[in-house]
Parts: sequence; C-alpha cells; structure tokens
Amino acid sequence: MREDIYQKFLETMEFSVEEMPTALEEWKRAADNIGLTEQDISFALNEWIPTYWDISLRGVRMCLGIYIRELIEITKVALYKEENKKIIYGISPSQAICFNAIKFAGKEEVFVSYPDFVLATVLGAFFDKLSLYCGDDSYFSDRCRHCALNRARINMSLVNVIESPDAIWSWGFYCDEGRKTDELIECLGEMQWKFIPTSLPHDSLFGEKEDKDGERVKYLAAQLKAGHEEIGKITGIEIKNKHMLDALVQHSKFSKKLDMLNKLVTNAEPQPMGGNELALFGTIASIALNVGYGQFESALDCILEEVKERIEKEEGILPKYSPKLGCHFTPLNVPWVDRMFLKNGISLTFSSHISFSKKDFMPFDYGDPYMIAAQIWLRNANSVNLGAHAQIMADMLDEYDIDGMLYGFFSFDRWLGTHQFSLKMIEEKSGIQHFYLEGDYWNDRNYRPEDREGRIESIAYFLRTRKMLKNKMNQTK
Amino acid sequence: MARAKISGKKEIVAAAFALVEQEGVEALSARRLAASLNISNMTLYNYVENIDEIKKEIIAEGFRQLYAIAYRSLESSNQNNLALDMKSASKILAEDIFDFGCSNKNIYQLMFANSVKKFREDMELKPFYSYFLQLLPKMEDKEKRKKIHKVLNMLHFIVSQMIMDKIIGIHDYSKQEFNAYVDQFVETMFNFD
Repeated sequence: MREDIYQKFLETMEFSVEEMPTALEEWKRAADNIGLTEQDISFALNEWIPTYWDISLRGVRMCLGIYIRELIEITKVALYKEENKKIIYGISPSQAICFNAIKFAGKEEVFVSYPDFVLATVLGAFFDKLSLYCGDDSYFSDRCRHCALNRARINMSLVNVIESPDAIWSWGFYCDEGRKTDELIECLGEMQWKFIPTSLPHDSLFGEKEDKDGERVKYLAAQLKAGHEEIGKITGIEIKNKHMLDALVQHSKFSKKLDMLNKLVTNAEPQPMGGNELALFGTIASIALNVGYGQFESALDCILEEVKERIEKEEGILPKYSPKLGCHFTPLNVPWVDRMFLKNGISLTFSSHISFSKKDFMPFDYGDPYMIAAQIWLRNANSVNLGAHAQIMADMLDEYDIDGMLYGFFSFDRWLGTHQFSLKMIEEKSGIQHFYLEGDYWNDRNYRPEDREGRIESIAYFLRTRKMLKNKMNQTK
Repeated sequence: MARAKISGKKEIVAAAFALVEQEGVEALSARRLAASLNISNMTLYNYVENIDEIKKEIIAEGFRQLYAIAYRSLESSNQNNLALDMKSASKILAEDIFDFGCSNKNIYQLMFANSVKKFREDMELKPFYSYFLQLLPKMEDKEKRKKIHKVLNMLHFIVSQMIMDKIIGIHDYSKQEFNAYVDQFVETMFNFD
C-alpha cells in the first residue's frame, strides 16, 4: 500500500492518533485549496523541512504543527461563514492582544486570525512555495516598493484562498502599506472587503519616550477601543474590559516564557538551537490564533525543557564560543540564511522583532486595559521614534551575549529610509558591530542564496577573527 | 552565437573581477563584460541592474578574499601558539592587506580609492571598510573602546594610504619598509591600559 504522505506529514507535526482521521481529511482539503500538491508535501517533508528545521526537537515539530493547524482553520472560513460565524482578520504588524480580546469575547461565534501572514509564512518557510501567490505582479509590480505580504494578500483574496471577512482590522500604527492594500482590494470591487483602518500620527519628538507620554498613550488607547467598538457594531460581539484583561494576562504569560527561551538559547555555550527554530515560536505568538493557544503553550513548555536538557549536556549546533549574530528580521521567512551562516561557523540567535527589552517587563502606569495595551505597543522598539528605537534596541542587546547584529531583508521599504541612521546610533550605544544584507524576507526571489554567499562568508570571517582573538585573550588572562 | 543564459550572477562577478584586475576599472563596460561571457547585453541586464551593481559586487568579492586571507593568517598563528594579542594581530592584518593590495592592484584601487565614496557608505559594504575593527572587542569601558576605535582607524588610514601610494607609483614601499612603519605605529600607539 502506498504511503500516505499527508498523514506522515501530520504525524511529523505531532498530530495525535485521536485527531488524525478528522485532521487528515481537513489537511488534504486545505492543501488542495491553497494549491499544494502531493509532490509539494513530499518535498517539504523529505527535503525542505529537515534541511531548515531541527525536527529532532519535539517542541519544534509541535510548533510547526500549530502553523499547519491554523492554516487548516483559515481554509475553513467559507464553512464558518455558512454557520453564521463572524470573521475578523488582522494584519501584521499589529498587536495580538487586541485580536485575542475579540476571540475571548466572541469565543466559538467568531473566527479571528491573520490569514495572509499564516499562509505566506507556511508557504514560504515550510514549502518554498510563496511564489504561488507572490508571482502575480498585476497589482503590485516589482518596481513598486512594497511588502510582498500585501501582494500575497491581494492575490490570495482574488482567488478566494482568503475569503472575505466581516471586517479586517487594518493596523497602520507603524506601517501603512496594509491599510492601503485593503483599500485597493476594496476598490477592485470583486468582493466585499470591509476594513477598519486605524493609525497613529508619527509626530513624536526624536528620543521621546512615547510610553511615558500620557497624552499619546491615551490617544492610542482610544484608537484601540474605537476599533473594538467598530468591530462590535459589525459583528454584534461586545468586547469588554475583562476580555482585554484576559488577553493581557495571556500576553504576559507567553512574553515571559518567550523571553526565557530567547535568553536560554542565545546566552548558552554552546548554543543549543538555531535562529530559525527560535523565530518559529516568537512569530506565531505575535499573531492571533483561531485554533487557540493550548497547543502553543505545550510546544513552548516542551522546547524549554528540551533546550535546558541540551544546555545541561552541553549539546550545541556549533562548538562552544562560536560567534553569534542577533537578527533584526525574522529568519524563519528566509530559512536558508540561518543555515548558510551555520555552514560558515556562525549561529543566528534571537530576532529583535519578537524579543523583549527590560522595559517590556516594567510595571504599567495605568489600570485600564486599553491604556496598558497602548503602553505595551509604545514600549516596542519598532513602534516608536528613531531615538527611542535606538535606546530600546541598545537596552535589548545588553541582555544578550552576541558578537554582532544582522539587519536587512527589508529592501522593500524601511531600509530605504531612516533605519540606516538608527543603526549607527545603536552601534554606538551598544558597542555591537552591525551588519546589513540586502534582501526581502517576504519574497527573496531577487536575492538568490548563491548570490548572497560571498557576503555571508565575509561577515563570518570578520566575526570569527574577532571571536578567535577574544577567546585567545580570555585564555591568557 | 551568444549564449542565452549563464549559471548566475556569480559568473558575471568572476568575469568582471578578472577584467578589472587585468585592465583596470576603466575597461569595465556592459559590452566588454557581455563579450567576455559570450552573452548579449540584454542577457547581462537580466542578472544585474547596472554597472554600479557590478562594481559593488567586485568590491564585495575583494573583501571576501581579503577577509579570508586575514582569517587564515591569524588562525595559523593561533594554531602555532604564537602570541596573538591586538598588537600582533594588527601587524599580521596589515601585512595581509599589503600583500593583497600588491597582488590585486586594480581591484584594490576600486575598493579603496576616494572616488568610490558611495560604496564606502553602502550599508552592506561599510563594516568591511573598517578592516582593523574586526579586532575591536565588545567591552564595558566605553571610553577605552572609543580610544581603541580611533587608533585602529588611524592604523587603517596609514596602511591604506601607503598601499595606495605604492600602487599608483608615488612611493614604492618595500614590504620591509611597510612593516617597519606599521611596527612603529603599533608599538607607539597601542597603549590602552
């Protein structure tokens, strides 16, 4: 009898025997729905995933499975609509807290997810198939600088891989491409596409601590509440303070565990796990999951135990005291980067996009949950003015034992602007050497790995030289 | 008949690197490069946007080779248990960059001539121009770090200028002379405690 590759795939992703009959049927339908063939599944399972993901770790397999579970959920939206469930989408970057509050309020009556983000991540990171929806440049051409995630959203929407929602809450707090994309989808007029745009003026002073500016926090909190009220009007689901509090408690619990994982992995000698695997956990926690967080918590607890075990046994991905690079992008979307550095004796570690500074764990100045959520957003390095960004980044880097920071893969937007300036400030404040690689982590087809190899080798020689001297000096002390 | 395809950008960079080293950067044009690869200009532009992109790739390749040489020299000293502190490492690196410059004169000029300001400011290439900064460790004492940073920059300036002077024929330093200058600078300036 021929082996069922779909079932083997789910078994590898730690789907249980009990859930297999239903899950298998749903997975086959979901894969077909998004355009993945049996051959694609086989390629992912036998080649791509083992190359780029350390699936000897059960926690990693479980976490990969959560992405697949959420993807299956997304392909069930048409069914949920028939059942009169309300459908709410989020976009990245945004804060999962506010979206989870909607789920806490509506429970099984509402579907909440980030479909473009999940689909693009799964297709790109696990199947090398992002081209399925990023290839068509009818609406966003290559010359039009944009985030390919938005191109994927348009293309997926037009072929109903992403069903139209009751509302998409389009956060424009630091990137306004998302809501412009939603406006474009609405203008194309081929489907109902109700979006709720929310934004915050970028009018704070350079270096100002925005989380300490009461008026700004209040304004942002009001925007978040207004978003919830609008969703309430559309869906009939009332989002109360207690739902926000539930979401905040959940956020706090996972933040602490993720912070622990980041520090255990980055600061251990030898480093027990790679940057791809680390980003896997932080990334999925940055979005709302309709499938819930039970599996995620189990995966997180499992990986923490496995990492501690490796540290105790001194098992690592490279020998002790090999150079380490922090990332200012999420490496899982371009998984070859991590492995190419590894081949050159360098390990990627935490991603600052999904990590925490000491500021994140300080007590809040407010009791109101919307004010707290606003303050959390304004403590994030990427949400604030460049001066504050540099300070938060430098504070974050202080807590990690790394030899350099790797920036880049944002060639579609930010790097054309001011981050080059902030990088100099972070370097000065932290004393940590920064490197930059051109690329697009949502669509790197113009940056072939083999063309980037030379740059990565140069960075590796630079860091290995420095580390060799450091280790030698430590020996002679 | 011209080829319709090549194996990738790497093939273009290798051909451009050889062309510049043999004939100087002035010889680098789309037509010459395409001819040396036996492809049409149009095929060339399927892989690169313009000549500046090719120049950047040549510089990046130059740095890759230079950093590889430097790493191997230091590793060899390390394995032979020779003293390897910032002073000795600086001398080794200076000698490596001198050798590299002498055997890749045209490439070195493209990499380090003042006319290539935009490449020096390019975010991908920038860290590699600070050649001696790979010796600068992360340290708590920020003032001390700044001081070391300055001295390493000065060393870089002196070394670059001497090699450039030699390449363009202003002063034909022998390796012995060059090493003597570096030695004196390092012994005089590297007092950080």
